[in-house]
Amino acid sequence: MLIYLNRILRSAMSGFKRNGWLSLVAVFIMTQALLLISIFASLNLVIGASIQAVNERIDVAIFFKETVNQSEAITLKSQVEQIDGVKQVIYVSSQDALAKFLADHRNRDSILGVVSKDENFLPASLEVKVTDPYLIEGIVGQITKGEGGELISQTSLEDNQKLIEQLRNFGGFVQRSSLLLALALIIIALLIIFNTIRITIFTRREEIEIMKLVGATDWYIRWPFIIEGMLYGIIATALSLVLLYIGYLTLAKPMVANYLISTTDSPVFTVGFFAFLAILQLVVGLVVGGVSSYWATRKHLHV
Amino acid sequence: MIIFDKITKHYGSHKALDNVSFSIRPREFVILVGPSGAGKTTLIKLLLCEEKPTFGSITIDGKDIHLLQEKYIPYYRRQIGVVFQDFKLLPSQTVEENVAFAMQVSGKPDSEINKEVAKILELVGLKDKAHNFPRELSGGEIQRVAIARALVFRPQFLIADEPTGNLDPANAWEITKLLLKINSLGTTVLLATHNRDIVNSINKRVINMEDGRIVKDRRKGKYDYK
Repeated sequence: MLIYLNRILRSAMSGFKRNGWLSLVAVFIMTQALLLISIFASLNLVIGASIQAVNERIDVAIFFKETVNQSEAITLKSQVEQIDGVKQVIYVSSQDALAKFLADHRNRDSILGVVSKDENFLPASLEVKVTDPYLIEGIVGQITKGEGGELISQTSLEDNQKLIEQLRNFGGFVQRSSLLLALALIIIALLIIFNTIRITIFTRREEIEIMKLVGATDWYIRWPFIIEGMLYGIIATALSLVLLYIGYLTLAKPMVANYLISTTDSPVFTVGFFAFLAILQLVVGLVVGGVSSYWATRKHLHV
Repeated sequence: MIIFDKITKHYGSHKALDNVSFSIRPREFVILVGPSGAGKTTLIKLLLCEEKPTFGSITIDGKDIHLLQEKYIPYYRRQIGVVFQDFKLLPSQTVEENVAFAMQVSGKPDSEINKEVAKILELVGLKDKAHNFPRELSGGEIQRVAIARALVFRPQFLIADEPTGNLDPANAWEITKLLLKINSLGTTVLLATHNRDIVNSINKRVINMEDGRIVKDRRKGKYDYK
């Protein structure tokens, strides 16, 4: 078995070398496709982290009418806690709200001047954290239309909603366009590798004919070509990982540090994510390389 | 024992072989003669399982070779040595590598291949040319490389399709003598040829074919064509 493997590998390597520039083009296109897939995955991650950050920072606040007393508010709080998708509910009394407001604006004397500690104009509220940003609308709807609806004066839903909607739209756009491009490049890579293998088969047709005559099995003849195709995938993976890392260091890392709104200290790009990318690329590279050469051998290798 | 039983092969409306029956005993030396288009090459293709007969069967030691499953055909071919008029050697590989190539395909370890290749090259008289490339050899020597390659699996059966077709008389004789020697060592030989002198001087069984049919089959035959 090992002998077969060794001989098949050697044969695949020589095919790769013999094809010269064509091999390079195949590797190049494949690298681009893999890079795009990785960029797509990375953007997905960044946008996901941004949405999460937005959600964690500005939760939905539900403001009570002035007439609502504390016990009514606490009753509603426990009702809200029962709703699916609600992670946490915090009751913020009128006094708490004022204290927070003063703390937030402690350096702005002009604002502090107009606020009187005796005439508290801030309403009591419930701060609702949800498990999934996509649920916010539904949850707020349930609360305002439910039994406690008449206690509520307004919610902060509208403001949050806009920001989240924008993020979602941007994310969706980036996802669709990068996926489409990656798909197009994968198809091009498939065709180029297919053609490369076809040429390898053509230049080796004499050798293949003789192999058949001396009793080489189908797969002994076929495997070198398939491995040659997979080799394109492996080399492209290595190349794109190097490029990706350079891109991460020069572009993504400073960008995330400067612009990403994040309350969590955990880094967006973890070692685990890079490992995931490497495996994803390798799998895509191997499958695309292997499938296109298998297809070429099916079509052009009459064994 | 190889038995051709009522073999018929059509290519479209053309009958390449028409109801051909004969048998070859173990260790026999059989010469197939006949003009171009008589069906010799078709017969050899059928024997190598490159094609299937339209009717009839070929059995070797009781087994119908065309009932073999596709995946067993390579293993079957290893039991048969074949030599062609155009040699079919790899120009970029040395004599030794060309012969070893056939054994590599079967997954034999390198040590065994080296030993076996050396023995076979000695048998065909090319021990000194092991590291030469085919272009550095004479026609007769090239054909001996091809014979060596056909013999590495120690086949019981050697098919030679016009092996002397591209050779001058002296080289043709060399090759014929080598085939006779291989036959005397116990290998059944089927030789398809146009070479009158060779057929007439070696006194072996001759099967004459014309238009896809066997017209004569004699124990010690002659070449009857002009």
